Amino acid sequence: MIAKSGKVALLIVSLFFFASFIAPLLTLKHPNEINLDAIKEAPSLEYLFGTDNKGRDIFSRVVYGAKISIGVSMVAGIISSFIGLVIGLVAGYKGGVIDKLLMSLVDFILSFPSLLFAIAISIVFPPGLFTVMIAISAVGWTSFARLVRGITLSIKSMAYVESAIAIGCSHWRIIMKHIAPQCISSALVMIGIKMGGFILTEATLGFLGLGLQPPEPSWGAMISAGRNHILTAPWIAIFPGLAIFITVFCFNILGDALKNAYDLTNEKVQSKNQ
Amino acid sequence: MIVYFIKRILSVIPLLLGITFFSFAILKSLPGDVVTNMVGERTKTEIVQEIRIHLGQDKPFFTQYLGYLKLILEGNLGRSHINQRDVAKDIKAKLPNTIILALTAMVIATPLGIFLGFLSSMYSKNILGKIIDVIVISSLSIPIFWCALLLMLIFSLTFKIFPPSGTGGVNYLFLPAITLAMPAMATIARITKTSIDDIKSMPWIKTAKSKGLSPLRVNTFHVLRNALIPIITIVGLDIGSYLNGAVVTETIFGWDGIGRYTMEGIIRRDYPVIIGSVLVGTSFFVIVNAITDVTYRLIDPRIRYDSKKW
Repeated sequence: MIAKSGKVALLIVSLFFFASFIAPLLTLKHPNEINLDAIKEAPSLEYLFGTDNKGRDIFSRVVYGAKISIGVSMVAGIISSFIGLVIGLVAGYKGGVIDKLLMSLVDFILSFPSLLFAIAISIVFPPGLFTVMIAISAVGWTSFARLVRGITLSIKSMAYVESAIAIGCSHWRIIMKHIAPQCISSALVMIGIKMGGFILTEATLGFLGLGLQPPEPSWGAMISAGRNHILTAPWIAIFPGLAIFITVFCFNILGDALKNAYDLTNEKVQSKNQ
Repeated sequence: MIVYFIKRILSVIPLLLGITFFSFAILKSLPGDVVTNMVGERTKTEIVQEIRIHLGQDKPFFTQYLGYLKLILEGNLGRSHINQRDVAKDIKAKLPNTIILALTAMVIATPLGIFLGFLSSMYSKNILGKIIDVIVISSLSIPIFWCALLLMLIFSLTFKIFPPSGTGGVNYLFLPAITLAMPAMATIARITKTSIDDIKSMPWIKTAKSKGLSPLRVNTFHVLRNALIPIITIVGLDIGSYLNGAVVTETIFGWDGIGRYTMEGIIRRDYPVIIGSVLVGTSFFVIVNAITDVTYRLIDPRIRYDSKKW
């Protein structure tokens, strides 16, 4: 059972995400609309979160930004889990040299400080959404691969897999019909656990200027832009940061609830196999 | 045991090789051609070809990699594209600043994290435990660049207690160190809590309690002391998070370390600087991890005797 706090957290995040999609219907100002008559206006009834140095409405930028931050992290999560599933299944099922090679690749990537690795990846590609997704997934798939490999190993030794081999099922059929379905649910849970971290990385890359390029509203980039006006107009940096904080906080609460409910910490799976 | 040490230390070598190979592959896959960049697009093809041969750019990928490796071993990381300064020299000058910052953050984070984790485990059923849990999750969720800006806004710009940016004495060190310590403290608090919860269910704790020892004595001498071993490992292994955090923290507070240097490289797309810093940062991380691993085995007698198998 997922704890109540986890459900509430999921609800809040879903609301954020949903709001960013129906934002055009909420008659918000366009996030990139420049209004030079209202530069650095303090928060008021008209501009709930104030305006930035180009007179853009920060509230609407924060709302639109949710789509990007949560969306990008979600796609990165799905890519990571897909790569992790394939690698984990192959490593766990094949075993032997292939398993050793793939797992040392995982160890190799984990031996980098994750942000430095993401930075190194993202300088190769032109900055943008695509690059952020690649940079996050390049590190992110490793934990999925470890998890899936562990589960595959424990399922492989079950009697029903043995009987599937005995009646002559192909490797492909055994993996797809008997092993993969059980890994997919765990991988989905893992996405929920990892989301908070992904959003933080996305925001950091955005802040470093490696993410979505201006004028598109990305939370990290908005804080970076607000840095120069921190004394005269602190709200430019404060509200997007608050949005990141609340979103990541909710995802972390959700992640903890998922961890308690499904118990798939890596050590547990690994010790089960030893 | 000695065999284990040697094995562990040797295991660093393929990792370091992998890191250099990775950074070389990235250098090679960067957009733009090195030679054309040097001489400009209007130079004659023959001259371009001549320079290419002179620089060894015509040789196969692997030969070029060996050449690159040789340069790194000689301590040559190339020159900055922007101001022609020697990258290795710059990094050497800035690394100590980063180490000072990281160590200060560690000194703040470790006792605080252990204390919070201890309290949270002791009072897990009560409101104090819940409050601590919220503090811990908050420090894990806060984007550190934002936290840095807030601290600066409050302590430097509004109340003017600390200088907003610069490199220098304790005054300058305080805010960046606090920022860097936040996520590390939360990680340590979490590990402390799990570790203490594990130890609390051990039979010898029951023995200690039934002997009639005071709860304080049981909790400090029997529980906390045994729980410390995994915590110490985490403190050592967590050096990566300090390096990650240093990029952002140093930039915001103008602390002259390799984090800020990397960031300047990124902004100017100065590839030798970025690759050089990533290379040094990761190698540092890998080496510290190996050292932590080895000391961890030295501290814990159970593992020490176990590892005779190695």
